[in-house]
Amino acid sequence: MTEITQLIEQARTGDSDASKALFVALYDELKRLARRQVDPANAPLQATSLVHEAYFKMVAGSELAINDRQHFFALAARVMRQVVLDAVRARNSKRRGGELRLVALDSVILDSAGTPLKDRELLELDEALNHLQDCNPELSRLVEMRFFAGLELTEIEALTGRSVSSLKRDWRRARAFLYAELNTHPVLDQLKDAPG
Amino acid sequence: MTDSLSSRLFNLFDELGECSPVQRIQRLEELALTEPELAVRLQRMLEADALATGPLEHRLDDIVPELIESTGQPEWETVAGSRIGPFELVEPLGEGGMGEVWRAERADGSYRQAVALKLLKRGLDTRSILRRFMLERAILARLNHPCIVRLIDGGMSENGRPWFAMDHVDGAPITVWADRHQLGLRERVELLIKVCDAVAYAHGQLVIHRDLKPANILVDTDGRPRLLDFGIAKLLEDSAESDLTRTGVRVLSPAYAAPEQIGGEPVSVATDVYALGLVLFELLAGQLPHDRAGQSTSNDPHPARSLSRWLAASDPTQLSARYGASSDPRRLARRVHGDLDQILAMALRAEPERRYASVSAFSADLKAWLQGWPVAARPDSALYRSRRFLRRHVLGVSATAAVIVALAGGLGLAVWQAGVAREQAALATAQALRADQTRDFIVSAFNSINPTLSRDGVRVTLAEFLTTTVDRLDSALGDAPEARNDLRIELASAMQELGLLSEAGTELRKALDELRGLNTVYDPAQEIRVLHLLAMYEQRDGSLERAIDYINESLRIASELKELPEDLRQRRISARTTLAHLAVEQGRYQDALDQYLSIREDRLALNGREDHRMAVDWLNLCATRYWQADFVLGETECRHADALLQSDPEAPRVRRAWVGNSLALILIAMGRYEEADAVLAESADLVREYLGEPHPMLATLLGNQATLRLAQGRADEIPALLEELERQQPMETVNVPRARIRLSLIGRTEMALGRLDEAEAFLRQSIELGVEAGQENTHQTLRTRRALADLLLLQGRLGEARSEVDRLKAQYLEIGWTQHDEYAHALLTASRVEWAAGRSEQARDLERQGLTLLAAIAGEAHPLVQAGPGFALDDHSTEAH
Repeated sequence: MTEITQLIEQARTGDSDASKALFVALYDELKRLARRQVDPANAPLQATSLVHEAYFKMVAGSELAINDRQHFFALAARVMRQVVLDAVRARNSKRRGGELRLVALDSVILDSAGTPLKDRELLELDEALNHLQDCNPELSRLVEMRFFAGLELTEIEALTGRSVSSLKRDWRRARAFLYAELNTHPVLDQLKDAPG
Repeated sequence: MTDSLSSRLFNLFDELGECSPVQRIQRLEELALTEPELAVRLQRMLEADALATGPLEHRLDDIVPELIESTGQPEWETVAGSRIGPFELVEPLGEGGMGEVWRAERADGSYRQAVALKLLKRGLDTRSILRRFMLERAILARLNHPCIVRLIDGGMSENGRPWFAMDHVDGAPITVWADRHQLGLRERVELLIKVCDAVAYAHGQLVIHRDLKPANILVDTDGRPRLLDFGIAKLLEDSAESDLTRTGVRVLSPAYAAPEQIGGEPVSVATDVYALGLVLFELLAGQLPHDRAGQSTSNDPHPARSLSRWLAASDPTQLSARYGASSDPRRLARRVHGDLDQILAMALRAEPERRYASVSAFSADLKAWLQGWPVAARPDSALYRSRRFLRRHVLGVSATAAVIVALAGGLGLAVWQAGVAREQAALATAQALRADQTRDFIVSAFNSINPTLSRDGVRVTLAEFLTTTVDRLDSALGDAPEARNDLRIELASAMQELGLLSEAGTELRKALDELRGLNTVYDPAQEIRVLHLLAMYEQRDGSLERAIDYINESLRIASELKELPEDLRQRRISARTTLAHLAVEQGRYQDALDQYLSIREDRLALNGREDHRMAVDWLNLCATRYWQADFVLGETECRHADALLQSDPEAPRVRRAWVGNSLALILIAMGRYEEADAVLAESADLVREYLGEPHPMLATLLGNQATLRLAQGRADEIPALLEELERQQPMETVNVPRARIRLSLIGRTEMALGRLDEAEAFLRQSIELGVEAGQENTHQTLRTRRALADLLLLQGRLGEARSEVDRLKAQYLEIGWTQHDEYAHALLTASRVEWAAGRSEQARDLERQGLTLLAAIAGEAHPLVQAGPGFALDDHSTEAH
């Protein structure tokens, strides 16, 4: 058994030191993969394939029990969320102040029309995910795995043993919960209450 | 939020998500009284769900592009200027899983030569990795093709790291190059064909690349594509070396990996076909076909992968950046639509064995497309999709409650009957409208959906209107119970027609309670009507027995009345017709026939004359004659029904299609194939003209056309018909009874086409569904079982074939079907079984009996009768319908 598989098993069975070590290892690996030198002979990687790459790199080849696999991907998804949020925060601190101001009314509308996402919204999503985690950890894990780790529902089905249809239902629940949290925005609320 | 509160929140969300808008608002209002916070959150969630706009709809790559793009030099283990063999390292080109790649120049002064030099990483020199590295070198040495980089030299560095040098390609990835030069559609395809030729060459040298992607296909300054990086390539003959992608030595690129690579299954040339398909897609569309943003999931049977759709939907500015300023998404999409879509779909099929068998076949199709010749790629056939349906539903379908079967003709009747019910509903509505209260209510109901008056200014669908209105009944008409109930019934009836079954059921039960309660004046006419509607509801819901109970109850009420008003007599006729349909569905054909006959008498007495309104009775009769193999009478009745419809200018002409369908079935059974063909074609034209397509009735007609082709021994024409049938009514959308009919048809087709194993699965599934629904004595189930007996015989499973045919004959005797063409055909099957068993005496005897019976029932002109003795024994494929 390799070091990494041992670590995963220990982490899954509740060893918090192992968990931390695994988190750090994953964080480093994902950052390393993301930073991989871009050159003409290396197609630009997609953020959503990082977790897959990390799996191939770190684990593939050794036999992982299914619940260890599940644990690996769940944790990697969590780490990925951290990596993404760190990147967003870094971007923010670079252009200090500019984006974190209260979003003006017209830009809210522009957002819903599909313009690029505001950093603010991602930070809020992170916040909302914390709330979701408090009231339904399984749903927040699903969001991490699908959105941050880029796993397809069929892959999550294979990992968790839950059917695609029930995962779809959960995705809808989670999405509605999160968006509802995002939308409890003073400007939007005023907009709704406005007469006429 | 506590756990129980949270689970309540999500459960309520699911539940209210399914509700009608009105019910939803009502529930939210109720909830707001007791748990305001929960209600507010729930409402927000429902709104958010409906909008579905937010960060989760974006791709992570769009949100944080810098996550990937951030540079920062990787830590190179080697420094520029180092000397490796005769080369001097100039600059790093990249880092692979196993090693570094440098641009290097010959430094031994012999001549100038730029190379790409690959150097094994330190610390990775385990035996397996070493072996892998040397294998790549060996593979390159083996390949000698103008579009594949050449191996130049190789050796061991001073500090013991193996290396090899190959051509340095001064170029760009194929996708980048094509965009940079703004290649057109044809030029892009031509470029990829060159790549295909190189890959095909490698396959000829028994090398599979396994990691084809734009980054590994560079186009040099002369415009020549060059394949590089055989780092995980596989030698076909080297079976021991099969798991490299899983050793962690080298990561394959998940974005371009074929399903079998991800699944860890064996790779083959088809793996490279898949990757080339993806590269072509990206080359043409500018991105890979995976559609995460659109939330499509991979278990979708028809993934949104069509190139033309991608192109049509792409951003014109992005497109013109790639294809040049004059490009137009729609025009591009049109050129791609059809053949090129098919070619890509075939290359990208999930199952390797269903892709192109070789890269050469793939490129041959691309060349054909360039020339405008027909291509070999075909869409998934209806047969294939049905097979998949069968696999998927093998448990699900069986578990479904027994839904009433609608035999090919029977369903037509049900649809027509619904039309009749609608007319009656309209009459009754007019009557109810006479009450002033009712009129006022209707006016206010219409006002409530007037876009200029409603709260959101949203257009309301008919279904929403009905549910809103029915919800307002109690508050608005609380003091007018009769009018309220009349309206409730009419609204429920309309809901039923619109398919809002459970809502209709709820309202109908409420209406029945009301009618039987103390608040309303006793109104037997309305009670009968509600019972009738409830019977229809239960029938559709699959509760045959409850449906029959309701009908019988309505008939009992009617019989207790001294004098029946005309509308009630009409209703009673409708109710009895429904009861007769139910008998057909259970295979009680004689009962049904008796009822249809007496219904016809009653309707004639009621109407006073025979007009087009009676065509339905004649049709019901002739359809039943078909099930009973009473073909001569059946034909006469069909033609009479048709004449009624044709002679009466008031008649809805399209109903002739239903008559034509039954007539065609009879003609097929009599072996009058050409006439049947003409009738089916005419009927289909009528449906197309009056009802448009796709339409379920066209599916029925096509199914019977396929049955005809089977009887004619023209099975090879059927796949095309099934294709069309699938278009009219996709397998995924049909209910269990229809699925059962279609499974039987497909099974018989597969059999005629010689695919016996598939045929067996279909036939057995169809039979099983019939038995579960309590329909083992129906024409449909028995015919499918007979086909199964023939199939077993074809498979050489003589013992099973004999016991199946014996059981079948016994069942015919039991239900008294000895004067039935099905029985005649079963005798012929039995004769073939005996023949195969070498008992020629018995075989000839059975054949004689079968042909005599067939001649008596279907007529001397039937092709089997004409062919005479011995024919049936030689040829199984003439198995009639």
